[in-house]
Amino acid sequence: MSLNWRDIATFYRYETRAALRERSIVINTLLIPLFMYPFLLWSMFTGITYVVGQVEGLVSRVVILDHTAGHEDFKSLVAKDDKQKLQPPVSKTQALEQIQAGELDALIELSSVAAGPKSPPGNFSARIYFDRSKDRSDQARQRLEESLGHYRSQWLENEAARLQVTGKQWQGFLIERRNVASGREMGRFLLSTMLPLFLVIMIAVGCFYPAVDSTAGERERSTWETSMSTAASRQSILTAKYLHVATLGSVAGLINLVAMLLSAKAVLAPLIQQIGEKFEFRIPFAAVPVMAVGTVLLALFVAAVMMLLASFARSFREGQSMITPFYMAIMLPVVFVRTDSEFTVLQALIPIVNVTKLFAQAINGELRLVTTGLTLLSELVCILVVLRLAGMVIRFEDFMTGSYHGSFGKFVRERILNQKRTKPVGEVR
Amino acid sequence: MSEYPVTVENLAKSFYDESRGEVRAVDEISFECRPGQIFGLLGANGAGKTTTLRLLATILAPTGGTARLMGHDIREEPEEVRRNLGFYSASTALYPRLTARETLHFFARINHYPDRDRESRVSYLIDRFGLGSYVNARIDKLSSGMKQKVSIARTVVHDPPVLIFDEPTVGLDVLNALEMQQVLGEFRTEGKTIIFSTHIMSEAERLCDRIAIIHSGKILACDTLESLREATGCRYLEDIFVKYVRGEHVRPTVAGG
Repeated sequence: MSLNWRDIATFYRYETRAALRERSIVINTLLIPLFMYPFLLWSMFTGITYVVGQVEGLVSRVVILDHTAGHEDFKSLVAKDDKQKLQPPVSKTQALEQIQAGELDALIELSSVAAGPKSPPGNFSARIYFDRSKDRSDQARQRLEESLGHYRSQWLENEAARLQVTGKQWQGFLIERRNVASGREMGRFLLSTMLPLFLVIMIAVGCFYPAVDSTAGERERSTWETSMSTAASRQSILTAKYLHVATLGSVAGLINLVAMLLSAKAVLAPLIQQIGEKFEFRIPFAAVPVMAVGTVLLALFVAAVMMLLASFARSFREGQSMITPFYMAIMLPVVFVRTDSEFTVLQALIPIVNVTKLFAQAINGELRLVTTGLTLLSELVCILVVLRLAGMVIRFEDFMTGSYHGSFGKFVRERILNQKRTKPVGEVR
Repeated sequence: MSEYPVTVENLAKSFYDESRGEVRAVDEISFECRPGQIFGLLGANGAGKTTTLRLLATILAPTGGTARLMGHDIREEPEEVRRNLGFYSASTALYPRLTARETLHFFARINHYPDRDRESRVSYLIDRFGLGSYVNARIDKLSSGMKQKVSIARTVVHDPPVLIFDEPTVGLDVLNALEMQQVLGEFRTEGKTIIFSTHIMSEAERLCDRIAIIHSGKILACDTLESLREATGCRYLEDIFVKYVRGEHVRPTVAGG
């Protein structure tokens, strides 16, 4: 193999310079990773906050049908709440019609429960009617439940006091929920669910256009042969192109990672704080090198496959359609892999899945030597396999000169699996 | 090192075609080119001119025979061959997103022209081809005439001793075609060895010091225009060409040197 690093550097600079002057590459490799997902994230959370705020800002119109005696205080409690407005009493049927028509938000019906040896006098049951298909009605239900809960506790305390029973005696057990995760851990959890998926997608997006542009695009522009007629060896030219595509894929991934982290800190944290939670969006220091290496290896793998597929195309459009199945295949594990489940040894051997899980593990600060090592090794093996395949393909002159008609699949069937029909006419260097 | 800048010995190229089977595009041809001369490959479309030139430029690999450019074998030292060669053809377009200046710098560097002399060489070519006013414009913004000038400049930017021009006037208007012929004449004066393919007889008559008539991958005749006239008894190259292609009896010409 004849590699000249000076030539590789010259071609690499040319490819990168030319790529950065192409609008679609700049948009997909730099601008989308930098702005799109952070923007989507911001839009999503702002939208949710806005909708929640809108619903919360509305006063709930409620009707109380009280068939009990001695629970007027509940009515007073609801009346004092400025988020709820008691409507004039109507019949149950009318109230239900009004709820369905959206003129009323909820109805609460209080009924007496006959006093017995096991229940105190004045005991009551409550039934709330609401329309779950309307946010506003559901909100009214929540508010009524909250008011009823307060009233019930107060009533039980009063009854207990009247019977000279202490709080500890009548409260058999209390259910208390307490999240032991710190704000930092919650932040890591949220990041580990989002970031690996975005990172893999961004690396694929970052490689996509440069891979097509530097192969099929060159053929379409009739500059492929221009490159091949220079004093640089074919291997040097292809190496430069490959490194160029992988660099843009890595850059897209890393830019997205930084943008997502910054936007999580600047946008997500304040929004989450509004709903009473405090998340800290920081990833462990040890995660950085692992994620960087994982990103580069994944970009090298994706770039190799995409270039191999696209180099059979004669036009940009054809190149895009040849790469798209692989692009979709990358998305599948990303969509179906659960980042919060255990990272098994088997998963560490499956490309794309392993990197996604490794990123999640790194962000959560739970890196394990075995899965980390296996993931990196598996990625490396995949890269070497694809490069070996590429090495076999570029020996064929008609592939290099662009006179071969067909896809990568057809080529493999004809030339690699069934070598007796045709063989390399001559090794081109 | 060979006596001649370009020596071709029994060069052959076969392709495998699914419908036609093995196709011999170039069939054991031999010729030599001298320094300071224009060697013309004259043939109809599909005669094997472009394949021959692509073999010499090491874009294709031969299936038989070989050739040497400036003493470098096209099979053994393709990078050295390309370093000593400027290759111009319709299929070698310019990179559209680079400027004219960037293009010249790129080709000088990638073809290993000495770094210390690169700036002055690029400036010289910018002046020579009158590229000054649009040297910083992107190639895709240039007119076809301007692109042609940049393309010639990039072919010679590394100052190669051998130049290959594959049908350089195809698609050009009359003025640009004449300008191209004038430039080829200038390169000859500078001592370059030029291999030039065409199917236009008048061009070959006007420019070439020696002419090879190629047909179905074989060289039928290879000599100076005067010798070809003498051998065929025809005055015009068109008649000479037809006589050879139709296989009518002619006196043998001196192939090679």
